[in-house]
This record gives sequence, structure tokens and C-alpha cells, in this order.
Amino acid sequence: MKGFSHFMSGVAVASFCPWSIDAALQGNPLFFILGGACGILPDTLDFKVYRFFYDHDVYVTPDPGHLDPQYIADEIARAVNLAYDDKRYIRLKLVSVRLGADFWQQYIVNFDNEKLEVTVKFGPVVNTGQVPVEGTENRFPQVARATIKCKVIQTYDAALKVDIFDGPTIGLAQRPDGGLDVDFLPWHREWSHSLTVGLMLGVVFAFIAGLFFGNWTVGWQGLVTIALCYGVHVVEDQLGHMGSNIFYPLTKHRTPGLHWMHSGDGLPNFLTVWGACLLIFWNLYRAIPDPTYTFGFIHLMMVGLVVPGLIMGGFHWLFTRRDRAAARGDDADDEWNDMKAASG
Amino acid sequence: MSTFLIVLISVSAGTVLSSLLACLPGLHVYNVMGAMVLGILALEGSNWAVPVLVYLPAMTGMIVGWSMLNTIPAVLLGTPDESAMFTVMPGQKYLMAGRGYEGTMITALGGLAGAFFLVLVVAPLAPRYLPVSQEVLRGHMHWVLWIIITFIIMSEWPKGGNRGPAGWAKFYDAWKTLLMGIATFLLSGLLGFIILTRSPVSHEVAFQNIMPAFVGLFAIPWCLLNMISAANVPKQRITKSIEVDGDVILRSVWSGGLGGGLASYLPIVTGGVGGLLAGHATAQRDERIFIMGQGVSKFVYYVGAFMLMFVPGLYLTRGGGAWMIKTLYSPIGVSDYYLVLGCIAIAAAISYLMISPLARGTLWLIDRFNYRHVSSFALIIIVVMVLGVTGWIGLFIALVGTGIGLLPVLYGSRRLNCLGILLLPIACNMSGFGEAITAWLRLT
Amino acid sequence: MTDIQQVLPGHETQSQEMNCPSCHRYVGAVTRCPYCKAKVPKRISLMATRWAAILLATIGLFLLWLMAIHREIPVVMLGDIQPTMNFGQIRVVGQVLNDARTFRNGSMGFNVTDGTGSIMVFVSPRQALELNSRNLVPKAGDSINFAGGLNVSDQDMSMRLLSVSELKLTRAPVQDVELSAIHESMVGSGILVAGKVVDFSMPAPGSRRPYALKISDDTTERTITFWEAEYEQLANPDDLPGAYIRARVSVATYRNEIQLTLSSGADLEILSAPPEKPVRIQTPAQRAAETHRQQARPRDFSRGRSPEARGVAVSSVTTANKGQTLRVRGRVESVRAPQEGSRQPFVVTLADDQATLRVVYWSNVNDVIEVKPTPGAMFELEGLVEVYEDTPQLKVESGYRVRPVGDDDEAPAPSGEVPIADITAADQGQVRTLRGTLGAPRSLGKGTAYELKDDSGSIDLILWDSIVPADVRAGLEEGAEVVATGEVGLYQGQLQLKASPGRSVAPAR
Repeated sequence: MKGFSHFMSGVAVASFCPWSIDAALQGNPLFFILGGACGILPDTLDFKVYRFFYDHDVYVTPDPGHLDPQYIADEIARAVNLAYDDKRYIRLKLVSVRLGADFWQQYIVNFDNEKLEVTVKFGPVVNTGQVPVEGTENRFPQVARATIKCKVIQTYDAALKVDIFDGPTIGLAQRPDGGLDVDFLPWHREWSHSLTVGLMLGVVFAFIAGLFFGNWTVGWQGLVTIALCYGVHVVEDQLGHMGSNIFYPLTKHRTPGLHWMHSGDGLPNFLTVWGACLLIFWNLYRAIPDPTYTFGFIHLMMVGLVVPGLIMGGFHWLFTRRDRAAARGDDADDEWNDMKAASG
Repeated sequence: MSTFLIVLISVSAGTVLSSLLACLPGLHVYNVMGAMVLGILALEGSNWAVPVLVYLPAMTGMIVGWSMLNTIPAVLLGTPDESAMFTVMPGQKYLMAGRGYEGTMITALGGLAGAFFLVLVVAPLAPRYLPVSQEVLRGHMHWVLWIIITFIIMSEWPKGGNRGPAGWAKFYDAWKTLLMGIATFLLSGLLGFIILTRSPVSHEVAFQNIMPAFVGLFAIPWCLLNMISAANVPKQRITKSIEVDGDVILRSVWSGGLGGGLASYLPIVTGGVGGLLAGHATAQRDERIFIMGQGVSKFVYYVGAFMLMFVPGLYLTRGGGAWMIKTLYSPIGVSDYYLVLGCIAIAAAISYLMISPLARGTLWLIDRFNYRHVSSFALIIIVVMVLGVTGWIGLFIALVGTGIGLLPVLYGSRRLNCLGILLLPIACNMSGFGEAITAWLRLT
Repeated sequence: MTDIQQVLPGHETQSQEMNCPSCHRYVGAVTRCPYCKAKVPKRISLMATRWAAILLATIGLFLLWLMAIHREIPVVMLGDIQPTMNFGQIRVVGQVLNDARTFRNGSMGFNVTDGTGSIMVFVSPRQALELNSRNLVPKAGDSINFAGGLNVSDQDMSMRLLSVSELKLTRAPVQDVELSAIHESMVGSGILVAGKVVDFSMPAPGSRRPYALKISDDTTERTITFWEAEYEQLANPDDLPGAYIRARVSVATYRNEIQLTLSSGADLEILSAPPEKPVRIQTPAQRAAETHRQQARPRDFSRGRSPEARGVAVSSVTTANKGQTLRVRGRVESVRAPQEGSRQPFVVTLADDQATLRVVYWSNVNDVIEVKPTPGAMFELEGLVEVYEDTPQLKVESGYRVRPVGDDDEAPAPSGEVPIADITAADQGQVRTLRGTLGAPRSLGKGTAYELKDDSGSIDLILWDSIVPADVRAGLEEGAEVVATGEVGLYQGQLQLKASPGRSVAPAR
């Protein structure tokens, strides 16, 4: 899911803790801040810290001045063969090619397991919205090929399309049958997206609050808040495809997700955010001792979600009757397509 | 003359005036309204006193006209210099592709859609539901601001760290821009503490306390960067149609309405923040939706905030326009509400009809005159205005704000961080520890 | 620029500085090429702007901070507050009008006046806690000097306390009063009462009724009222029934009855022994505070101009002036001192050609009168008009308001006119009538100022549009001789006479 969805989910979970609202009414925003921050923290740890320290075995760095698909294909093949020969996990980095503030040269990597080769083709130049620039589609019709020594199995269905921002990392893992599994973004959710890590962070917070500030009450309340809000991020990511290493360090590998959604899908993200807002609203309302206006949970959901949703959905259906092929989100959207953040 | 005619003429005049002024880059409608308020107060009690039925519709028209038409300088009068800036705004992309007119019209269409949304959807529901949310959220605004601050800081994306081997060098390359973003936020926050606690601006014009700082943070950097830009405006095409359909408009209203609505309702949260939150919440990828959504968001933010002051049973003061009106007039009853809604509708129609000719006129202008000179002219007006209203000390504050406002653009972070000027001190005050901070800063 | 860069939209109009001069790859805004590590030179204007940004944002901000911390927040008279001052920080020096009230959310509010107007001041819950802990909660009559942020709308104005550390409070001494001595003239002030608790009734749970503490002394019984917030501040509420207590209470009226209200639980003290009878000794400061309290004006929309005291001749004082504070001039006919050991007042008979007036004051007032009234001397005394046996009498409460005027001083005209030179800063807040010639008018925005001149001196006469009718103002012009009545004020160190509401300025006959 997108960062903001995780963030609001964290805040919503925090709103269920009664001490959060009590503290807020006393002017203390701590628990809500913890909720939101811990909701987004797993991705922050990965994308803003860990990935810069994640070493790679092979860096594929195309030269923007001299674009050569064969170089890319050869380097990828070298990585595959290295993994096959040395029987070890190989980390391969595919660096993006920036041509302008808003322009990126796209290239596509494909593994042909029938012919045991990797193919690379340069696509069009795209802008940061991944929209092709007119006139750049067929500048490089050539498809480069390089031989690989074994099959490479892509269980993750994200296209190996390298275009905007930071390029992807591929992990090549040994299979029992001698082939290689492709791990997309192996550094992502390797340890950060773990319920146990959230719990440990909560324990650290509790100790700091207790030992340095002498407030064990805030300590345990913070522990619970952090653990729950951090954990909700892990739970939400399990709805997608990649999954997470849920009980690191007890578990070693990512548990695949439920494949219920892609992380960049618009509607699930919005429903998560909006649902979180309504839950927060409900919890705040419940905490009012003598409210002037009274309403039930169903009433709130009808007015806040169901009725406007039906109206919007109706209009959307009306306007898109002719075109039902709505573009699906790409898991790459979550981490890569931060167009609005970049242009904000 | 009948009341209807007085109102119609006043709102039309206000709309036309602000629509023309909106074409000047850097000039904000609140600056012009501030000067108007001074004039109205000066004339109060004299034979030339301006009646409410004149200034209220006129100011409504001014806000509507400006929020609709300031798209023009935003899209057409700011060529991104890629040798100086790290990011290109979506509207600027259209300009660089020769489609500036199209981008302007898409945004304007968003503004019109926002007007429909505001008048036909929000206005009937606001008196019924906003008082409920006021009661529920009472006492909680402080942490809402805090989580917004948290998200603004945590959601900023590193611009570097894409090349080279892993290690501290790569980490630092990535975090340079993030650290600059945090620094921008803190510096602007400090500026905010100074201005809100012990402003050097004379108390006699305190209602424009914050104006020099905002001008410095946003308007002057815009003008300056245009003036020193080494990029030129590509040839522009004027299209006869724009590629949008009902679904694009619907999703733009959804995204922009949410962002603008949040910004207009929550105190201190501006349109940029609302747009950021809504953009992340709705996860729209289509650039047309993004641009049109910006038009919706801007309209709903400025006009919606103003409208909230008139919602019966609520009378919420949000946004600079409402605060200024409050010094002159306090609304009573539903008649004021209907008056303002009617003025919004009329003004939206007039301003939308004006945008095409004004956009064409601007394109003609920049084809013949260097856009840098236009920005220089705008800078002179801004400086004169700051000097005239707040004096030399206001100008110094604007200079300091300019320094802070240039940092994100030139060093790769988000301009949004400049909103720390209000977000940080007010969140601290609402949470009750603002005084501890101002005491530590020796401001109190 | 490479071939591909040339076809990218807009790149044909971009500067070459976005590319590395060495390898020609796109580098954007950076100054060192990430590919070949060559330096990417940028134009001087851009580099200068980058450095200027850093310097302005750091050094400039530091200088601004220095400017701010050394800036004195200006003192502004409440009557001079304009809508354009909204959000401004100002300093107010004045007097607290009423005991600070704690609201349900823990915040606090109190009213302050500086003689030109009054304003409500709000205090945040945290500041309220700090005020309580530092015993700085404002009470009626206290002198206050504080800085705050203004909130001005077209209908009202208020202030928000800026900082507790910048608040200076000088406590008004509180009079120790017997229960039977409490009367209406004390409304709005704080007093000390003591007695035995004869009844303590608490409201039913969930009820909004107040707590009622009935106390009794040798003279009568009274009930002290307070609410939940104050009850929670009491040290030992269970010990109250039957105990002797002393409490500082505010005097108010409720349904035309005197009501004593406890503003804070900290103001109630349980005594270990029966209290001593209050001795009615008042220090000069107490008297001055009480006089000042009586002159406190309610807030009004005419920017605070509401005169009360008027200077009159003895014969002008009638029973119709009951409750008014007047300054009266006349010849002392007789002075009768009280018998030693008694609590009788001093009685001075003041006379003019047409009438006599009985003036009373007590020993504490007499103690501070510099020149005691003696038979035959011309004196001016200021006090509260009371009616005793259907006859008006003047009760003087401050010895500073008794002064000789000398035989060669002109007796005031029946209208109470005084020479302009007689107006001093000590007359601030008093109403005077002056006769003189108008100078050139000067516009004040919402009013007009004239220099009013007579043979003895000159003073600014201020006519505010909102309180002086237009036809009165229209009849005034430079050179006209007028008689003007108004309140003496001080603005930027200069004395001025602010014309009273209504037809207070008229052509002289």
C-alpha cells in the first residue's frame, strides 16, 4: 500500500487506544504521532535508510551518453551465471537512466527460459508519470541477447521495466532444481516488515520512557501503540503480492502475500485512508462524555462512506461504460512513482 | 439601485479586477484584499463609507477570480530551469511541451468543477454536518496538525543516492535533500515563532504580520528564479479542445475536492498540504487528473475557506480572506450564506469565461516580451506593496523569508516545508508547549 | 546536448548548464557530475542566489531573531485599538476588573481596563496552571502589566496572554470586612471575610448548582458560593463543617442579591481558632485601589469612553446624584472630628452661596489628607454621593482627593468649568469642563482633534465620531469659542480631553 495509507492506518489504530485520546485532550499528541510514524516506519527504514547500505554484487549502469542494450544484457547474464556457478545468492542492481528532470530512458529485461537467454530492449523515453514521450518509441529497435546458464523463474509478476527514479534490485536465489528464483527488491521487507521488530521497537521506547524519564506508564502505553501501529503496516502489506518477513529474526524469508491487491491500486488505498479517517472520527466521538449530536456507527458509515461511495461509483460507471479496462496499479508504483512527493 | 444589481455589479467588478491581477506572478489576492480592508476602514463613518453589500460581494468575487485565474502565471510564466531546479511541476511540464494553454485550461476546468462541487454539494451539506465534526474534533486539532507535520517530513523522498556503491556516501547523497527539507521546515518554523510571538512589524498593521514572510517564502523566490532562469519558453500551441472526459473530471473533483476541503476546514493547513494528502490518499496516476485536481483543490481551498465563515451555525473563520472580512463584518443568518453562494456561482462563471482570452493574451505577451521582465515587474510591485504596508522591517522579513524559500528549490527539497512557518509554532501553541519554546528562544 | 536530449520536449530551450561539460550527460542542478566527477560550472547569478539563500536563511534569520528579542512590546491604550491591529502583540497596563474565571477546559479569562476601555484576556490551560502555582491569578482590583496577542473582529476584541513570565501583577490589598458591612458599593471587588461555617451544602451529582458555604460572624450570616473547579482546589473540604474559615471572595450580585463568590480554593483558609474581628484600617493604597475600582468602566463599543465623575458646585449636588462620584468645591463651614475611641466619621460641612453639603470620611482617610480642611478655607473634595435622611452627603474615600484650592482661585462656574492649566495627569479618568477657542481640526480617522486654547494653556480636544453626534461636530470650526465636557486622558505623554458622549461640546455663550 502507499505510504499515506499505512500512515493513516497507524493513526487509526492509535485512536483505539484510550490513552491516546486522553493524552490528546490534555494537549499531548505523542501517541497519535507515534501511531502515524510507526505506521509508515517500515517503509521509511527500507527506502530511506537500508537500501543505501544494501550492497550489490553486480551493478548494471547504462551510460546515458552511449546507450547500449547489449551491455545491459551481458551484465545481467554475468550475474545469473555467477549465481549459478558460485551457488550463492547474487544481488543485481539495475540502474535507471536519467535524461532530464522529467525524462527517463526506459529499458525492459526479459528472461527467456526456453532459449536460456536474457533479452534487453530499450523502450521509449518516459516522463516521471511513466507516459512515453512522443517520437521516442523506436529509437532502439535492436533487442540485445545474452546467454544464461540456467532458468530464471519470476514468481513475482512485476515487469522488469526500468524507468523512473531508482532502478530495481533483483535477488537471484538458488532453486532445488538448479534454476534461479528472482526476488524483486530483496532488501525490501527483508527484516523491517516484521511484527517482532515492531515489538522490539516498542520495548526500546518503553525502556527509554521508563529509565530516562521515569514514566513507565507512558512506556508501556507507547510499547503497545508502537507494536500495534507498526504491526498494522505488516498486516496490510500481506494483502499484496510481495509479502513480508513477518517474524524476523525468527523467520528468514518473506512470506508471500495474499495477492488480494497491488500496492498501487487506487481504490483500496483510498478506502484504507478514508476508512481510517472514519474510524478515528468514531473513536473521538465515543470519547465525548455528553455530545450535542448523537449518531451510531452505521449512520456514520452510511453518511461518510456508503452513500457518497455509491454516488461516486454510479457516476464513475456512467462515465466509463465504454471502457472497462481500467489500468491496474503496479507494485512498482508504491515505491517508485512518488510523483506527487517529488513535485510537491 | 436594487440590491440585486448592486451585488451583481460588485461581484462582477471584484471578479474582473482580481482576474486581471491574478495574471501577475507573485501577487496574492490576500495582499490586495488587505489593502482594500485598510481603505474600507479608513472610509468608515465618512461620506464615502463602503456598504457591506458592495464590499462583501466584491471580495467574494476577488477570491473566486484569483483562485481561478492564478493558474495563468503558475503555468505560463514560470519556465523551469533544469540547471537550477531539481523538480519540474506538472503544469510546467505542459509549458515545456508547448501545451501551456492546454494545461491552463485543464486547470481552469478543474476550478469550474470545484465551483459546482462547492455550491451544489458542499454548501447544502455543510450546515448539517460540519457542526458535528466541529464538536467531535474540538480539542484534537493540535494532534491533527502534528500528524500532518509528521507526514510532511516523513514522506519526503530522497532525490539522490541512485548511483554508486552502497555505503555512507550513497546514504549522504540521498539524505542531502532530506536534511535540507528538515532544515527548511525548522528555519521557517523559527521565523514563524518570531513573527507570531514578537513580530518586529508595527502593531498598527499587525493584521498583515505574516504577509512579508509569506511573500518572501513563496512569491519572491518565484520571481527571482524566473529572472535568473537560463531557460526560454518553447513555442506554444493553442488547442481548440482538451482531452478530458467525465471520468477524469469526476476523479479530479474527488481528489482535488478532498485536498481542498481538508485544507479549507483544518486550521493552518494550506492548499499545498491538502493537495499532498489528497494526492497520496487517492493515488491518481493520470497527469490530467493531477493538473485538473490542482484546479479543483485551489478553488475549493480558497473559496471554501471563505465560504465557511458564512455557514449558518458554524461561522468558522478560515483562510486569510475570512480573517480580513471578520475585521469588517460578522455574518448573520442564512441570507448572508445565500448571498455568498450566489456570488461564488456568478464569479466562477465570469472568471472561467475570462481565462481563455487572458491565457491567450499572456501567451501573446510572453511571445513578444521576455517573461523575465514580467517577473521583474511583478517583483517590483511585490516589494512596493510590502514596503508600503509593513515598512522596511517588513521588507527585511521578506528578505529572510526569501532566503528560506529559495532553499528547497535550489537544494532539492519540497517547497511545502516552508509551511513550517505556521504549522510548527501553532501546533506547539495548541499543544501547550509553545510558551516553553518561545521562552527558550528568549522571545518571551 | 546529446541527440536524444534535443528531441525531449522543452530541452531545446534549456540551458547547457544542465549537462556536464565533460561527458555531456544530463546532470541537472548539481555542481559535480555523478558520472565523470567533473565540475559543472553554473552561471554567477545562480551561484550568487544559492549563496544568498543560505546567508539570508541563516544569518538573516539570526539578525531577525536578535531584533525580535530586543524589541519592547509597545504599550497601547485599549481605547486606541483598531481592527488593523488584529494579531498584533501589545502591552497593556491597567487594572483587573474581575477575578479570573476558570473555564471547563481549564483555561482562564479575566477583564482588564486601563481607563480608556476594557478587554477580555484569555489564558491557556497550561498558563492557568502556572498562574495558579505562582499565585499570579488576577483578582479584581489588582494592577496588571502584561503582553498579549490581540484578536479584533468587528464586534469584539480580546487578548491572549503571551507569556506568564512577562506578566507583572501587583495585588490590591483586600479589605477585611464584617459580614454585615458588605454592601452594593463593593460589587466587583474582592474582600476578606471570616466566620464559622454553619452549613455546607453540596450539589447533587450531575447537578449544575454550586456549592454553598454558609458562614456566620458576630454580625450576620452570609453564603459563599463556588463550583466544582474551586471545590477540587480546597485543601481539606471535609473539615469545613463547623470550622472557622477566612476567605477571599468576590462581591457580585445575583438576582438583585449580594453574592459572595470564591474564585479559587486556595483563597479559603481553615483557621485553628476563631478569627479576630476585622479592623477597618485601610492603607492609602487600599483606598486608592478602591477609588480606582469604583471608577472602573464597563466595556463599550465606543472604544471605552464612558465618563462618570463630574465637577460640580455644592448647590449642584442633589439626591439625584446618588451613587455618582463627584468632585465638589466649596468653603469649609465646619469640621467635626469623631470622639476618641469611637468609630464615628469626620464630618465636614461644605458650603457655597446657595447650599451646604455634609461631607463624611473616616480616620484612615483623614490620616492621609495632607492639608486638613479648616473652617473658612476653600476646599475641593471628591467622593461618592450618598443619601442620608433624604439629604445628599458626600462620602470621601481617599485622602488624596481632598485638597485646598486657595481663596484666589476662581470658584468654578455653575457649569464646573476649570482653566485648562489646571488639568494635570492626576486628573486622568476625571471629567472636566473647559472653555476655550478651537484650533485647526485634525482628522483621526474615526474622529477629529482640535487644539483647545484658553488664556492659561492649551489641550487637545478629541471628538470621536461614534459618540459625538454629527450635527455637534459639524457646528465646530477653527476659531470658535466652545465649552467642552469630557474625560481627561493621556496619550503619548500628552494630556487630552475626550469629549463625552452626546452634546458635550457647545458654542460658548
